[in-house]
This record gives sequence, structure tokens and C-alpha cells, in this order.
Amino acid sequence: MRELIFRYRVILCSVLLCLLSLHLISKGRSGSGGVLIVSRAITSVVNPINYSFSTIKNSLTSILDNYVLLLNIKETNQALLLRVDKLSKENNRLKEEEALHSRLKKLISFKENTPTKTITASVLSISSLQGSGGWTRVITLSKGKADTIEKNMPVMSPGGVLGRITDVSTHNSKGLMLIDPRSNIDVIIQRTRVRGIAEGNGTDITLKYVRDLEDVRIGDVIVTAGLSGVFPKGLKVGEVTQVQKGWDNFFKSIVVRPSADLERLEEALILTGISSEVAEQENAEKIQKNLTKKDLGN
Amino acid sequence: MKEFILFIPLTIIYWSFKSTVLPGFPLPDLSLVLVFYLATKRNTLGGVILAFVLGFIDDSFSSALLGTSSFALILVYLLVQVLMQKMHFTRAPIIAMGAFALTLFKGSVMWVLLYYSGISISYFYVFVPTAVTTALFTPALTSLIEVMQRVKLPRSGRENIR
Repeated sequence: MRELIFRYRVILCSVLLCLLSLHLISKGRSGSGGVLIVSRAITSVVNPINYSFSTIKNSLTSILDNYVLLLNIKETNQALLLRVDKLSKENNRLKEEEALHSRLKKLISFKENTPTKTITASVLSISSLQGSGGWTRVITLSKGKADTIEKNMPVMSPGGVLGRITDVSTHNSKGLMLIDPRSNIDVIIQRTRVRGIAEGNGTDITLKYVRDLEDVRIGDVIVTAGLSGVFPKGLKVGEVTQVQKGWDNFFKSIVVRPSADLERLEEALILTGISSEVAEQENAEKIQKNLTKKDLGN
Repeated sequence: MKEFILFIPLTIIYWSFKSTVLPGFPLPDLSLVLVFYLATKRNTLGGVILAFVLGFIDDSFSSALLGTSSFALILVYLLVQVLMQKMHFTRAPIIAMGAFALTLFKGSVMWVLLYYSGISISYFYVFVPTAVTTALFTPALTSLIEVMQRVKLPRSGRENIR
């Protein structure tokens, strides 16, 4: 018997193991705990190996993704940089266009509301020199005699008065800005109708010859008086920022901040002629004043 | 038989590699190749036990029902023993064809067992691609195992090297 078993040991063992396998299958189907324990034991042995392979795989994938597959990244990067550069320039150009559009819109709006003929000129430069009287401020504009620009024409910005033309060449002109110490403009305080002279001091405007008795407050708007024949009446000059008693106890010391943004000037309007309506109005006012003076004299 | 014990960790590592690095890729059925090699070399009790163990490892990794691969690989071992009486697996094309046929046979046995256990799998998509890759790699793998067996130094030789 023993010899028989030994002779067919392979067959017998195979049959036994096949039966064991079938038993495992049937246990597995029913979800038996015994099979699960064996399976868990194998899993616990295999987990560290799986972890090692996963780590290696992840490292290789990382190398592949971050290095090998990025071999052409230099060319792509250069192409993208060029594109970014191109788009950046285009973006900058569009921003400039937008800013120009915005400024021109303001200018057109101002032009429409201004009762005089105007010419739009680009601001070529704003020169400043330190003189004995403070900082001189001269603006150079892109329009000249060829564009019917003449001396003493008012220069405006959407914010208000900038100054007046002092020197005209064929295609350019120079204007004395209202903050230049040489600039004098007849003005009135809009609220109280008190007259004065707006003189530049290099950085701001000083309102002179306003009596100490007059009512002047911070924030009062100063407009052109229209008496000098240079500026039409009612153009905004600035706002009172400081009111003090004068050193002579007779006139106030008033500082006015220009309403035009003098630091960001790119375009300006030159008032080429006072319209007939305005001229008539101004003439009528002058006649009325003369009549009043005569009446007072009598 | 002791030299074949190495097949167990080898199979575990291979399955681990297969399930983590190349999951879903029809890699050769290493357990079948090893059982095929064992069966062509010797008819021993150890061969049957090793077939059972390798099958058990297969089932543990493939998440199939435990016992299906064991059962199939024991049958593969016995079938090769029977076939060895009629033919010799010495030339590469015959080894490849044999591996192909045995993989399909193993697949068929597993498919039947799983089917009667209430698990339905696609025979064509699961076993045929594996059979093709197994057939392609078996001649090379068996040659490699053979070379490894030949270059293995005797114990005394190893001691001398140390």
C-alpha cells in the first residue's frame, strides 16, 4: 500500500491539492473567515513590496513628466515668451489708446461746452526753470501760426485754465502757464463775485488784491473775470485752499490750487476766438460798467 | 527542488510589479511559465506543490477567488507531464505554441470555475492577450531560467569565493 502511494504520490498530491483548491473556491464564494485570514496574510507580506514599486513608479513618472517630456519646453517657452512680449506690447498700446480716448472724450465734452472756437494741440513739453521769482512754467504746444494760433490766446484743459500763448512759431507755440510767476489773470470768486488777480508762484496760484473784509472761504471756486480781453468770462481757474490775513492788514493772503491737472498734461485746447455771442455779451457788460461809472461820477 | 523555491519570491515581486507599475497591461503569465518549465524538467511532488503555491499567489494578487489559479496550474502541470510523453518542448516555436495553448487552457479552467462561482469575465479580453504575450516571452524566459540554473555555483564553490 505504502509503495503504491509512493508510486502515485504526484497524482495523489495533485488530486488532494485540486480538492483543496475547490474547497478554497467554495469557501471564497461564501466569504469564509479562514480564507480571508490567508488572503490578509499574503496581502500584509506583499504590501511593502507594492509600496516600493509604487514609489519607484511615481518617481519614474515624475522624472518622465518633469524632465524627459519637458525636453521641448525650451522652444515652447521661447515661443510663449515671444507671444507674451507681443501681447504685452499690444496691451500697452491698447491702454494708451484707451487713455487717449478718455482724454479726447473729456476734451470734446469741454469743447462742446466752451462758447468759443478751439483748437486741440498736443503738449510737447513743459519746461521749468528756477528764476528769481520762483519756478517758471512754460508749455510747448504742437500748433502754431499755420493753425491760426496767435499770441495771448487762452490755453485750456478740461479741468480749467492752463495759461496763455506767449510765443508763436509756424508749427509750435509756447504758453505761459497760470502758475508761472509772470502770469496774471483777472479773476472773480464765483460765490461772492469778489475780484482779484491770480498770480502764479511756481507751484500754485496766489490770489492778490482781495480786501481783508471780503468773505473768502476755503473751497471757493475762482473763475476768470473776462476783463483783460484774453480770457473769456467764467472759465474755471482753481479752488481756494488757504486763506490768511495779509502782512499789510489790508489784503488777504489767499492760495488757490489750479483746477487743471498740470502734472498730467498731454493735450490742451487753444481758444482761438471768442464767439460773437460771448463778445456781444462782454461788450454789453463793459458798456453797462462804463454807464454805471458815469452815473456814479455824476 | 530547493532551487525552485526562488520562484515564489520571484512571482510575488513580479505580481507586485504588474499590479502597481503596469496594471491592466497583458504581461506574460509568469506563474504559468514557471510551472511549464518545472513540468518540462521534472516530475516531482515538489513541482505540484509549487504549482499550487504559485497559483495561490496569483489568486491573492488578481483578486480572483482563491483556488482558481491553483486548481488550473495543477492541471497545467499534469497536462504538461502527459504531453511530455508525446513531445519534447525543446525548440522555441514549440515552447511558444505550448505556452500559448497552456495559457488558454488555464484561462478556460479558470473561466469555468469562476463562471460556476457566479463571476463572469470576458475570456477573449482577459486570457487571449495574456496568452499572446506569454507565448512571445516564454522561450526567452525559460532559456533565462535555464542559464541561471547552469551558472549556479556549488555550495563549496560559493564558500571558496567568500
